[in-house]
Amino acid sequence: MRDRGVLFPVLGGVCALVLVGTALFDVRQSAASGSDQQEKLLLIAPAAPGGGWDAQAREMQNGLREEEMRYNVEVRNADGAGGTIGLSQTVNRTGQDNVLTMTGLGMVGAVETTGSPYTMEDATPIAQVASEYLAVVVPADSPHEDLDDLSEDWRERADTLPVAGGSMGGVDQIFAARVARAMDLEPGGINYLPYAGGGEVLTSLLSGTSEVGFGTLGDFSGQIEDGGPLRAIAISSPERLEGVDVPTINEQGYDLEMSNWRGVIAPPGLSEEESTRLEELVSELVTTDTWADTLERNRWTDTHQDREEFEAFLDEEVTMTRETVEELGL
Amino acid sequence: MDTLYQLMDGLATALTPQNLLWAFLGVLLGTAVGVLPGMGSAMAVALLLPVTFRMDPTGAFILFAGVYYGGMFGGATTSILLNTPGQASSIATTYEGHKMALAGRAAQALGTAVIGSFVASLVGTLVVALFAPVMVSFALNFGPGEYFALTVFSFVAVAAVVAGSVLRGVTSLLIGLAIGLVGIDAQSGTARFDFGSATLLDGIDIVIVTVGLLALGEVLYVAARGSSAVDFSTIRAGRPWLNRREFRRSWKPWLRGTALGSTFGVIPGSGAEIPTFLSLGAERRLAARRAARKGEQNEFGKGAIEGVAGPEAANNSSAAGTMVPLLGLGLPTSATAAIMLAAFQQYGLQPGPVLFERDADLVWTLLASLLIGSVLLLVINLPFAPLWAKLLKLPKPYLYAGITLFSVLAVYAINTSVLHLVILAVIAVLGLGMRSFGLPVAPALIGVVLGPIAESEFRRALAASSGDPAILFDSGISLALYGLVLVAAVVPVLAHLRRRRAARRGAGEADRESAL
Amino acid sequence: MTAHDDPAETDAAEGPRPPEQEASQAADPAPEAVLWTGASSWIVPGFVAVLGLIAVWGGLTLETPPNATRPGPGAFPLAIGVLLLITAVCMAVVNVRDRGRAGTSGPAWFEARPVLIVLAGVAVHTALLEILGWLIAGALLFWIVAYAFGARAYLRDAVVALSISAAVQVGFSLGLGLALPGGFLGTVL
Repeated sequence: MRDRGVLFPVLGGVCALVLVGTALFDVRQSAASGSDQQEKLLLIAPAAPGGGWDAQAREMQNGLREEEMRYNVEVRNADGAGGTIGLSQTVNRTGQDNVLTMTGLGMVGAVETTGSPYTMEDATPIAQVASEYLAVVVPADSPHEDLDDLSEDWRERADTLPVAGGSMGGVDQIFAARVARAMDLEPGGINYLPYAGGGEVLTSLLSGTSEVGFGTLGDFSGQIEDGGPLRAIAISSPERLEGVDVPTINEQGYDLEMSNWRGVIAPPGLSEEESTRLEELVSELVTTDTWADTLERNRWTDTHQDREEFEAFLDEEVTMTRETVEELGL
Repeated sequence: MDTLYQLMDGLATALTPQNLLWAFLGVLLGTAVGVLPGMGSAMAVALLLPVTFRMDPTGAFILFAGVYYGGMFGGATTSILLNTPGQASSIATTYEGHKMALAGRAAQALGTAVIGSFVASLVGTLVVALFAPVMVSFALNFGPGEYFALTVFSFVAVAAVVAGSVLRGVTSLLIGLAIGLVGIDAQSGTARFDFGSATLLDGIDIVIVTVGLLALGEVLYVAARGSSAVDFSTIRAGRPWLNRREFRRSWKPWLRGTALGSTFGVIPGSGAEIPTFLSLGAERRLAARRAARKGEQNEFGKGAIEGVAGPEAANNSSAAGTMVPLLGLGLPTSATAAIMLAAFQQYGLQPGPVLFERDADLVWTLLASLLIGSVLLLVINLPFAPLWAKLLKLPKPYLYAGITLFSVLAVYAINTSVLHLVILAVIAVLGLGMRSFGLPVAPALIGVVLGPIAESEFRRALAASSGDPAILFDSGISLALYGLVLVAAVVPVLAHLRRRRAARRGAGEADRESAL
Repeated sequence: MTAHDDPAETDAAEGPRPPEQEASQAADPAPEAVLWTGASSWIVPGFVAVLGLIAVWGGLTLETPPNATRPGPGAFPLAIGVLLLITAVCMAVVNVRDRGRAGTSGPAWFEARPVLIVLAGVAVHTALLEILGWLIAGALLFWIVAYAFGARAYLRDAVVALSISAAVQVGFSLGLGLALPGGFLGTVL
């Protein structure tokens, strides 16, 4: 290594200079706070790649680029503790006006169950962007035809009937608890088997481990069609959904409407003007064609709310979730 | 025959110059990402997803297939050369692979890994194409009871990895199990051993444990050994290619690994780790038996090529295996598969039981792209194996500084969290301690990976049956697995006893201590 | 779980070592076969016992939610803790029995200085990463570790260190779009 004359150190030095130069350029580039379309925007997805919030963030990134609204958009995954790790990262960025964090019912629930030091009130709500509705599903050969059948059976063996859904304290369990509550059952007493995701819930139902599944419609949409291995017996939307032939929970005489909504929040400490800019960015995005594609592709329903509406909605959701979580004894 | 014809059709659609370019890029990118510790193929596929919004479905599938296979193989490179597995599914490769590298046979280890990956992807894909429906119904027989039996079986199977003292092996396994306890308990939502830290609520990421115990732990250990440590740069580079004998020793493990991988890769939730451990365990036992029966030399523990060929084939064929539940049920069994599911939906494909009838064209094109991906994996990576092996010729300070830098980077990249770096340092010190006092590190890793699975399946089974333990034994699959456990546990003990009796009669005291 | 052999026969797993290994790793004292004697022989059993006690304590004091199905979240920690304590006792028994037998008293080859330098490097890197940015903090870590391993060509080491950390920055951040902290460089440039 040492005996190659001058050529080697000189060449090495040049390479090093080029590398360091490029790296410095990159540092500048990613820190740049350029103007208009070049302005940097950081989207925090409080989930791992492949998770729901990750999809939301990547879709927003894609939309902002495609519609030439912003080019310098970075998605950062801050996975952990049901989304509260992402929340605390957001709160720690006090005053930064170029950060949007994905949020939703799951995060509200996780704040209650994990004892997170930060709550939704610590962040600045910006907007709700979309919703997914939740479904109660059973295997195709199950004796349960509708919610009345289920209610009767469930009353008889509340603490043994195995029902499956996503992780403890997550959206699916909150949904299961509210369905039980609407049937006058004790939500804390049900035999809920938590799984890591919609896919595993599906296997659990098909292998006969659990008898009823609770989850987002999108998790099951491929399986509940005619001839599929599952049947949906109820959906949590206010009215029947177009193209989905499943009766709502309300329609069957149980008082429950619920959605797995998705929104965005920003760090605390923003001026009115800064919050409005972010709000306008989102409300412009959700009217574009690219976003319409996104909604269709992911089977999301457009439930956009601006800042004021979203703030009120969020307060309500926090209160309701807190009640449910208390009933569940988590 | 009909299926084969359809597959040919798919190949015809997929084989365009442009698609080959995508496959090439995919394998290259997948390998590059897989080489970086902590960056699995899931991350690569997630980063690519927005790019594919603008591509045609065939091109996108081919790109994904390349990344998926490339990522699986890329993990093997660092396992073999630097003792640093990039993802959990390459842990099993590390044991024999790195020892081969130390013995100057890095190029052969990489070679057998590449060819094994190729064979496994090829056979795995064909198996998926031909038997997907049968495999789906097999997979659906796996409830939590069967699953728990499978983890018990895996524990016993990998006990073979524990060389030397049983007591020390068990201690290490228990330390791993204890690390696996940290974090929110999935079954009840209770926080366990979080010591008040939000970072610990999610448990200690497997990447941190592997990088800490293996990579950074090794760096500290070599530092502690000072001048008495092994110096890679003095190792002879050796021949670049496999010779005929190595080839002959590799092909059976490739096929056995492929069989294990495509069987267990199909089971939802099992991931690629279990088959790799099973394969390593099987190869080790077979080698011991060959040594006993035919007097062949047992190279396990010193860099046996079988111990690389088997696990590498297993992890690539389980990557093909995950396509079964994905296509047949719309069920993603790994993070990578979850993202691919999103990609399918963007083309209006709805994976599920009727997919094979409704979107036959696209399905066969996808399977054909997996085949193309596996061929390119071989073409691109085989020539590079000897080049990669040269990495070990770097001066020692730079090599270890580089490993340290990549370890830190890998852990930081998980969650861009500095706190993870603190955990990493603690685990690395633990790794140094374990090495210094002669505790093997391998069982601890197995404990961390399998412990949480075993616990949650056990408790889930009991919850589903409302506390009736009969659920653990009430199926043919569980009973068969427990039967294998008995055989695997009892036979070596009997053999050991017989050997000991013979030894006592013969040599007397001296050999008495040769433990399992 | 693995069969639990009588500890009496497992203490000295000094299997017959094959000759090639001796040749290729001449200085390797094969730590897995080393006997522990003297004061340092109590470090591992002590550590395992402490770990076991933590697990048992955690298993017993966990607040189990009222509706949790049995076995609750405390059962596995308890079981693992008890097993850890048992192995600690086994190791202690082996230690007592082996008193006076020849063996290495702790790892004689252990050099603390380079280990401490590497750990210090990691600590410095961790503390300064988000302040200095990856480019500088990474180069610093590389340089310190190289120093610990005996590199003394300070200038060349610094150039190599900077190049590697810059290459990582280019590959990850520019190439893959993953964020690495820019640190103060981001505000200065």
